[in-house]
Amino acid sequence: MATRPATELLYDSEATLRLVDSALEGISDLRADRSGMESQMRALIGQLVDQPRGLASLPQVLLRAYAEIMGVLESLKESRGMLERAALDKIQHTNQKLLEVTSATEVAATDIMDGVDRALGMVDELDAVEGAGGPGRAGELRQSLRDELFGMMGSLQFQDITTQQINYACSVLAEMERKLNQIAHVFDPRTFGIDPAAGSPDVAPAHPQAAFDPAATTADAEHRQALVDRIFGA
Amino acid sequence: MKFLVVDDSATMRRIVVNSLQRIGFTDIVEAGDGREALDRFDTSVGFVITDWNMPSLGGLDLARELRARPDGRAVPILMVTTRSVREDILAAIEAGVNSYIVKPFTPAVLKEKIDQLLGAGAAS
Repeated sequence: MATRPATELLYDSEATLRLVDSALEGISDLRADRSGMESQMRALIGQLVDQPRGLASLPQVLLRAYAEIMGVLESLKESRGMLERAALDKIQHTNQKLLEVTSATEVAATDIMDGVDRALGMVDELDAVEGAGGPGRAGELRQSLRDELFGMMGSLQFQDITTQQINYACSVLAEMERKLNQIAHVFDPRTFGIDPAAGSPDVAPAHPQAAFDPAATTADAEHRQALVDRIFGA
Repeated sequence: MKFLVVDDSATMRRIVVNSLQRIGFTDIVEAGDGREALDRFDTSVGFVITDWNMPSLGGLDLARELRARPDGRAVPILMVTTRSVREDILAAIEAGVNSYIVKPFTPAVLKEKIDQLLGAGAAS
């Protein structure tokens, strides 16, 4: 920053005031009541010389402003770092955890269906041994067991629906990450002509597009099917 | 009759396939999305059961593509999906879907819709 011009101005101002002082000395033959006025003027000049004001204080003011601005920029840099850590670390971590849930439920659902298939196979074997469809309580129980097992398999539809719900949540997180990265870019010191921050975190790669229904739900299936039937029947 | 079951969820495909087998239909082919379904579709396919939300090519676009083909104009198309708002249902009808099941569904509903379509003959 250039302080020399402000300092020279201070010197010039001081020199001018000294000239005024000497001019006041020179009018001493006017014999006016100058004692009070002169003492006030001398006091004022003394204040100006001892405590710089106006243009004379410009260097100090500019130095203070510069220090304040640099402090604010440093805070902005810290905020940018925090935003980037929040966007890239926490949101990506949360996204990853949600995808792990999807994967885990798919594996579990597959295992359950495998178990149900094996159980149905055993019921079929019992039918073969005992005579399928034959009268009697045993045959009825086998058929009931078969129905129950098949019902269990149908219940696993929740896995597809919750996967869509999780994919929706992941898409919301991805949007948050994108917006946080945009905000962090606003805080980039390069925006203010300051040296760029070294080692800026990498921008997260785009998440793969997953197909999902944002409104997917397991609730109220009968009512929703009734609406469909009304429209198709219309 | 050969069924073509289309869904990007392996769990859902298995549930639909098991339901079809329970009804008595055992000639079944599967596809993971609409694009794969178009590759697997041929004149031997007599019924299509498809999801809506799928990568690459969704169920609605699959229906439109099939209706644009001479060998796909008459095949019954049953949509099985979580989407259930009025606008979606109307869009499905517009695309050429013949019937519609909301997830989660029961085997009884699936059998009812298949019986209706097979009893009614071909697509609109």
